[in-house]
Amino acid sequence: MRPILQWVLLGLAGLSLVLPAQLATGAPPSGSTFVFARPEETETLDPERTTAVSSAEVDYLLYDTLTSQDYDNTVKPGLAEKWEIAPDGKTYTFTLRKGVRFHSGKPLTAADVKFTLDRWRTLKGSPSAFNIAPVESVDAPNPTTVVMHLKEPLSILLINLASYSASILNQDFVTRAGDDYGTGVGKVDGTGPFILKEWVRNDRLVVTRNPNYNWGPPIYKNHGPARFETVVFRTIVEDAPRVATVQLGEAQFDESVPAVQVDRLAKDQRVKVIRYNDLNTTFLGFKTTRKQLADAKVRQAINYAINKREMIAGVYYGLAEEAYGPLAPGTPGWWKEATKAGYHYNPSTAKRLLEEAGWKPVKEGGTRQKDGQPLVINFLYSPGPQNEALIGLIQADLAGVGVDMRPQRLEWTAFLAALRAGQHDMFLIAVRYVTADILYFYFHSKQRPAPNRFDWADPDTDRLLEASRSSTVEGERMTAYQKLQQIVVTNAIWVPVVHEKRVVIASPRLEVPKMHANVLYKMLDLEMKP
Amino acid sequence: MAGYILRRLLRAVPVLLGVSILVFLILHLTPGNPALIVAGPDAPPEVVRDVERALGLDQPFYVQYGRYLGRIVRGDFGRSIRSREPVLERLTTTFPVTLTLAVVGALWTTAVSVPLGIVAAYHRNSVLDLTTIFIVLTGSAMPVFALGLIFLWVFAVNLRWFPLAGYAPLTTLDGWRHIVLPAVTVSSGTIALLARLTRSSMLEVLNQDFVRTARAKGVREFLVVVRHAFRNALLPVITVVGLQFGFLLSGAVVTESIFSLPGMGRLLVQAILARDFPIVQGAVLLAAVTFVLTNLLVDVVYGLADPRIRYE
Repeated sequence: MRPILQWVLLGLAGLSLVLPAQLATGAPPSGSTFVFARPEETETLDPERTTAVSSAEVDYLLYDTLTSQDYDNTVKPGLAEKWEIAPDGKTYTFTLRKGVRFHSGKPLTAADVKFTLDRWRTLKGSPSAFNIAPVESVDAPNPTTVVMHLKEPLSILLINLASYSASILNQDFVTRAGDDYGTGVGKVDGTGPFILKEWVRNDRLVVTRNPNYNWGPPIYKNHGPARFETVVFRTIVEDAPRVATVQLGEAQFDESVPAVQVDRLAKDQRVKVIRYNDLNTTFLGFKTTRKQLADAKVRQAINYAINKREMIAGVYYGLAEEAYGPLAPGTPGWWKEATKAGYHYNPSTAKRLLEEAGWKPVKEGGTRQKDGQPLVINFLYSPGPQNEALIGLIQADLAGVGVDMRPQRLEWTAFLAALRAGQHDMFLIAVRYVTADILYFYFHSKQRPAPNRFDWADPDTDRLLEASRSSTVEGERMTAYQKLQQIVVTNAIWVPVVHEKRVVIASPRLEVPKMHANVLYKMLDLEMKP
Repeated sequence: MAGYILRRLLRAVPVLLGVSILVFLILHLTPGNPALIVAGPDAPPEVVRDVERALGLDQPFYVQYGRYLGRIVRGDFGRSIRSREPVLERLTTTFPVTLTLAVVGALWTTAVSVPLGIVAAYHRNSVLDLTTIFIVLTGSAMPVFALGLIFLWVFAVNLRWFPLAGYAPLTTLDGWRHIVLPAVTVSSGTIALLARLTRSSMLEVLNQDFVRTARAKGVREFLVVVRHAFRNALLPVITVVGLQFGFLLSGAVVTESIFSLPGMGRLLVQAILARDFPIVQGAVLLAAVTFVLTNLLVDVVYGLADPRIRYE
């Protein structure tokens, strides 16, 4: 038997011990390489075909847009160095910057811009084309002039042109690549600060510095070329290994850190934690036409019944702010008064309002009733990192004032479909939007059944929304937005819950300028300290 | 033999057709519309309708299936709804990763559990036997995600022997560094099963007359165990290795996520969540083909291991 045992042990030892010892870890990336770790994968690099953030992050590096977006979400020049707007707000004339070249070497001309915008407007199945739907036609009278003609004025046109969806493409390249455009190396061409070099889906996407770049947006000190030679996007789905890559120096940035780990990471010398306000709002929406929710008093009562502070402490580990209006503070047009005018936790006021609306308690601590009907609310939500915990707290808060909330969890697409079909009384969702224009999509009566899932139809609201959307006078727009937010708050169409803070971790040596609404945007000022 | 293989392959055609119909049906009956994902949660209804039309999702089920089948016959598996990449291209880049994981996992399983099973059987009821059983059972009782994270913490984070995430082809040393931890993790559950099976199979054979005869003839003990006993104990082991291979393929889903391997398991989960129908259909079909071929391979290997088996 001894030979057998020896053979077995040798074999096992060989496999389990010798291999790892030989395979010692490679050197960490050099100073000129920036590794960005993230949980999701880039879908496509055809900017007109996707709404995924993970694609947008790369699009901002590979492409440029006519206008650019400043840190405060206002509009600055981009590939267009200036523009003029006709007094009626229907004609925009852009003058293109000279000397811009695509990665392939071809000079950028107005024909490429015309081609890109026409493609965007007419591309079948483009999820973002509605952002420039009011554009009727685009002209390119000479190589540096682009004229856009609109059917109706669109106040947010310039900011929409700064989004990744409006990335300017190379006409010849797109025509040649056809349906394959944006699906891999050699199938992408842009004018951006970085060039696509390697793309192994679900593993890594590598871009290298564009050495000829000198047309970076004015928001940066450095207008190009970028300071990092190479940027690597690494997809690491699981939180623990992704965070560890930054701790071990294998990556310099992790854009998605679970709130529960933040305190621990803040004490870790190997990383720096950056917390910042992101323009998001988590809210509960009412279907305002439901019998039990049609009375604004009931909706207000539910607003009063919910203890946001408890949620922030228990669910968000302090990394959120209480929300009182439909926009996040920081969004241009945010109504400051919302905090005062909104509903602060007060269960006794909630009970009083329910009494006034005719919902009486049948027994102590039980569900309220009106005309023999119990106050039952069918509540839809989708799986999310905090959603289960939130639902538990909301359910308990509502039970405390006599409302029987019955949560139903649906997977994301099923959830969206159910909301579209109007199967909800209430629902939980989070939105992120950089302009106040979200109000148009959410509250205009034309947007029912979705995204106006509240069934909110009010002539005053519609009138204000149309006025704010078509006005190019900044002051008028802002006034209209303020009034709109007031309507949403007074009528309690939502329960705004929290504005979640975003947390990223970075290498302590990484110089991160201010955080941009699009995270690291074009990465032109980003560098490593020696 | 060639005739037998051909017949088996022909018999696989209706199986694959059935699988494709079933997957198509399940996907279309599941609530949730891929157009909603493509269009984004806040898209107006007309955008959703446009996307549906562009994807052909506005057609009745049988029309969609008919078109799908027609395209597959011509070798066109369609394009991913989300990434627009041809499905076949996507599968040919992800499948090798999963296959590598499963093959290395199966080799590791066999390399560890067969010798363990033999040793345990030979030293039946001894301390060695009990220790072996204890170790393999503990390993298999541990959920894959927990074991994977422990391995990462110990070997990648603390000892830094292996990388935290990623993949490289096995033709490079880096490729081996990336695959070792995932392969050991994915095979943890199957090692126990195969070791116990080898042990019981060996026990049965070791008690038979021909083993006693071999010993009586003065054959060396090592050869008695390996050549005479183990060869006869091999049949059930082969069956289980084949089955385990399928299990390893499905176990890849969790392992690939923990170790960030760009394989088919992860692709499939993402595609299901995104209702990326063409990817799901393609991946499931490919998995079905792999199962059919693995089964065939097991049956062929039977014959090589035991000359008494004849193919008709």
